[in-house]
Amino acid sequence: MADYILRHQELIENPTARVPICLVLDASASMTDTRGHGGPRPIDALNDGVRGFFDAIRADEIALYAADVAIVSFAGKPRVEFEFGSVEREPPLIAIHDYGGTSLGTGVEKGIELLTFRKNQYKETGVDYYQPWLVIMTDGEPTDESHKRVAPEVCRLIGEKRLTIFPIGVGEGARLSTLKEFSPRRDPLRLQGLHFGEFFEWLSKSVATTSRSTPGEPTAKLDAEGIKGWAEL
Amino acid sequence: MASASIRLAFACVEGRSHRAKGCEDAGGMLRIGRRGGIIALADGAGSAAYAASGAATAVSVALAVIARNFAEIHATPGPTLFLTPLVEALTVKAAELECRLRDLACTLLVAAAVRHGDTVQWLTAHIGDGVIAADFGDGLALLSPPENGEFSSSTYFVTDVGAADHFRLSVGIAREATFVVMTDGAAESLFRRADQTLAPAVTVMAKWAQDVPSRRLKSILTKNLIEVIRPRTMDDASLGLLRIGGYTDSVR
Amino acid sequence: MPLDLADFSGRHKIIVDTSSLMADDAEPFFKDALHPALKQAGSKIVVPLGVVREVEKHLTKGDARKKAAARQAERILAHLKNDGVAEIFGDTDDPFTDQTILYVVQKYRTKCDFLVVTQDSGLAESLVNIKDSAAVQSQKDLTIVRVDKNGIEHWRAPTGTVSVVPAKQRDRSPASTAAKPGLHPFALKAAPVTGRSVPQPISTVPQENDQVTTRTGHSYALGTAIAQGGEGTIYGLGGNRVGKIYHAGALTNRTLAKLDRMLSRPVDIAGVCWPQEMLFNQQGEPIGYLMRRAAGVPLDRSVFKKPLLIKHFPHWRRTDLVDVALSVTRVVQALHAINVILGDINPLNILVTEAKQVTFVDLDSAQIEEFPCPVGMINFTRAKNHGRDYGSYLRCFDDDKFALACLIFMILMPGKPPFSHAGGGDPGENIRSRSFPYRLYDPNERGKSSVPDGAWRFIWSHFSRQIKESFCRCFKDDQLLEASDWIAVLTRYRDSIAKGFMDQEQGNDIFPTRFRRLSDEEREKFRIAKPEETVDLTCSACGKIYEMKLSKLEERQHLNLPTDACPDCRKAFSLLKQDRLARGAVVRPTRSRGPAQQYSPNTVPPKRGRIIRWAVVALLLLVVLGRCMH
Repeated sequence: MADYILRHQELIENPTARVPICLVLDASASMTDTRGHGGPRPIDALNDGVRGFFDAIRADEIALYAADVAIVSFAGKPRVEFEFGSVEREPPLIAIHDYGGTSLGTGVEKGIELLTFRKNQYKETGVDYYQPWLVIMTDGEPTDESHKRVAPEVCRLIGEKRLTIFPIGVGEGARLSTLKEFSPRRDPLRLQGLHFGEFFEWLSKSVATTSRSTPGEPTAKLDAEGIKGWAEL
Repeated sequence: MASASIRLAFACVEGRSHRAKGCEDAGGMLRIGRRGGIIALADGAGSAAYAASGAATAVSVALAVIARNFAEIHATPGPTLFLTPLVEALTVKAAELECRLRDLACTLLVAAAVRHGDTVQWLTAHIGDGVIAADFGDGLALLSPPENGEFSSSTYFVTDVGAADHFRLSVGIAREATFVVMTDGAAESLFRRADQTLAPAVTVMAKWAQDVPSRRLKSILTKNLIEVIRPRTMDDASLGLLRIGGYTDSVR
Repeated sequence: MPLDLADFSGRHKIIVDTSSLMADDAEPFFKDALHPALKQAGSKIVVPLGVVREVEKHLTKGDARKKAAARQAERILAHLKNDGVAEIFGDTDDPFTDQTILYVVQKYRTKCDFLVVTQDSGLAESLVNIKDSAAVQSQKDLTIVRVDKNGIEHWRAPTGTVSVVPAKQRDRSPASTAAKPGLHPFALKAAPVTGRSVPQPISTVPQENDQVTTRTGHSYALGTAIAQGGEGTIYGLGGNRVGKIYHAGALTNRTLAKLDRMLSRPVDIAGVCWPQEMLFNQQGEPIGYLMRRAAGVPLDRSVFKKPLLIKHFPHWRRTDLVDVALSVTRVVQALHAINVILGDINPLNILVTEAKQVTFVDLDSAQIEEFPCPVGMINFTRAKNHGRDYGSYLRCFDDDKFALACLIFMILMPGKPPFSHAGGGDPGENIRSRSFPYRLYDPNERGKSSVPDGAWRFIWSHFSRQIKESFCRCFKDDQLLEASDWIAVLTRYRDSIAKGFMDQEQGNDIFPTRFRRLSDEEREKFRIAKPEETVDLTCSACGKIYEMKLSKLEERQHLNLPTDACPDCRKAFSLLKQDRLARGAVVRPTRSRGPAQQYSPNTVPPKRGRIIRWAVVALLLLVVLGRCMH
């Protein structure tokens, strides 16, 4: 001890504060429709985007340990593609659901359920966490009324500052007004063309920024500039 | 002439976060003649615009108040004697800066001890996160844990309306007293949140307060903050040590 | 084994110095051995006038032992003089006796045999170096001896030699200065050049892109102007050469003659830009000279102004300042060794680089032989020369020593002239009133201090005792230190800081924020009472830890004054506030950092707004500093 410097073994490793992110992604039949552009199908572009998201987070040493990601896909019913956990696992390949319909509400509901469960796990294990994020992506109108039931709950959570939401409409067919019901503060954004890649890149940067701020604060200002590049308002 | 050995030291380091607001932790210490000492640390709230000023003001007021009113606070512990001048000074500062009181928000940790005859009277005051650990001769133990809000990284501040309810004051008498005080950034590596236990390193530092003279203690604390604590957190980090030893210690 | 005097008394010129006259066993030797030997050979010993002066000094000052030894020396001198076997020689303005002895020996080395009698190991070493120097082949003898109870002996340092500044610390040997061996010193003249000073007739003064030539016919084109002064302009000449081209009417016959003299003796000293070649215009008229390019920023535009010091050399600590002072002193020492007296030791003419390399430029104004230095600065001029026209008298080494002491002071106390004090007048008055406000600690001394406001008090307290004593000796007692003494004192100070013997936290800071913490032993020794309770606080603006008396803290709180920032930052902010209020703005302090943030290598560069705010503060500080200087 003559050198008066603390040794590694004498210290504590507290778990890194987590950024819990749940992606709720539209996997209905319309996501195979290339709309005559002759380009890639939306679902393929989406999968590329998700993979890019995972790669980008892995590349940032702080975001890597902070990001806690879950993925839910939905069509008529929601399906958990990826349980909450580290991005070091392989990203799932999202496939179009066999049964049709676009039940936005139940998809979002599933996402909220996962987030709530995860938060409780944090509390039990004493892990710090940032305000959770819910990312919704859909390309069309919902085919049922479930969103009318779920949206108020989501708004309440947002109002109590216990959730932050990123509603994204994909392509011209998306009904932004429906998405707006989930997001009292933030206007839904329309994804230009199929720029999933750019969106997820922006998202990963936002994770990196958030994980460098002190948790619990009014959200570290996310880069609104970055958004302009890929979405039409 | 027999006198208590008094060791006082503190150090603050700016965090690695890219917000570049400068260090928003503040520290201060006061030696009370040959009889005792006070250590104070304050951690400016990240969302406060003038956090650094708030923290520095809180520390200076805390030291002055305790220096002059130690006996009274020790006899009848209660938040008012302490909080009132504190909030008053912060209000004046806010007026000067033309900002809101909550733009000066900060946590506060204070440890003070004074020798009377062959006992040591001590007190600690704590609002918010950060940790105070103490050893009264029978081993180091947690004295005041961090108090957090819902997100377990939001916390309480001296400027909060309900600060008095979250103001934790402890007083006592012992044969000797050693305090290790730290803000949240340092606690990241020295305190396990899950089960509220102290890292062995804290005991090591308490021993330093026993063995090393004050002047060297400060540079040792600074060195450890820069080389060991800072790489493990993004936050500002501060440490403080206070020790009033028993008569059996050699006088330094 | 003692040497036989008879070998020397006839042929040799015998030079005797103070130390041998005052040595323990000297009297019997001088009176009983040397005296008769001289008488018999019909010769005399040579005693430098400086020796007589030194003996006189020791008669009045110094301890009892020294006084007794001085009385002995006086007796010996009187004895020998009365009998006509001792000759005093030298000017009243001799620099120091050793230097005179060295100079004489060097100069006449090839002409006569010498026997030098001295107890001083430093002088003996230097003489031995001259003897061994291969550059001078001589058939003549040079013997260096010391006196002991047996007579005279070849020089070997006795054990246990002790002096005020230990001999091995003294840096006397000309070979160890920055000068090359074999450098011939200039002559020391008694009177300045006479005759009118007439401007040289010049047809055209070359400008940028014009051609200039040297004596050897080499041609250069003048590049861009690098600097402009009162006398001339400096142009780049390509490579690492520059040319100083005098303005119309600035080059006089005197300057020209001086330049010729300077060019006749090529001087190659590290840190000195000596004129290398004369430059001529297209009409063949001399219009300036060529010298090597110097790198760096003038002291006056860096070290002497705090914001510029921080801007140019942000990583410097106190040891770096001491190194700069050492470099400057070494250059002065080297120039003095060849009898060049600078005269105008001007901080605008001393350049310094980040690597602490120091270069003196504008050497054409220096005093060479009978050509005086025509300029000066009142801040660096001794009181006795105030009011005199600089070009009308020859300066002495002491004048340079005074200026050197001022310069060293202003380097260690960045930009603060030594005689500047609270309630003082302009710099000239300050020097004449001899009111050097800084003091050695004396518990019996009471009364208000007149040390100027600001960190100067703190900086002074962080000096070593030796440094303080040296400055007090120079500025209060008028006992100017030699360059070699400064080198010893500064080196020791630097070592103390580097080894951590000075204040642990702030000992190496250029601008400490509190007095040096005395150790408990020092307190005991000087019987200083423990100070009143003080508080250590962090400054929310600059992050530094500063000290405040508890009573002052309470007072401030009572008056609702801010207690979150250190006095420097508070002052800076209030200057800024005053300025803004005067312009009708609402004032808030910035959150941005002051300079030299110790703990964060990752600080993001400040936004423009912050830069502008701090530029205003810096400007105001400069203005305030500027006002203080005048």
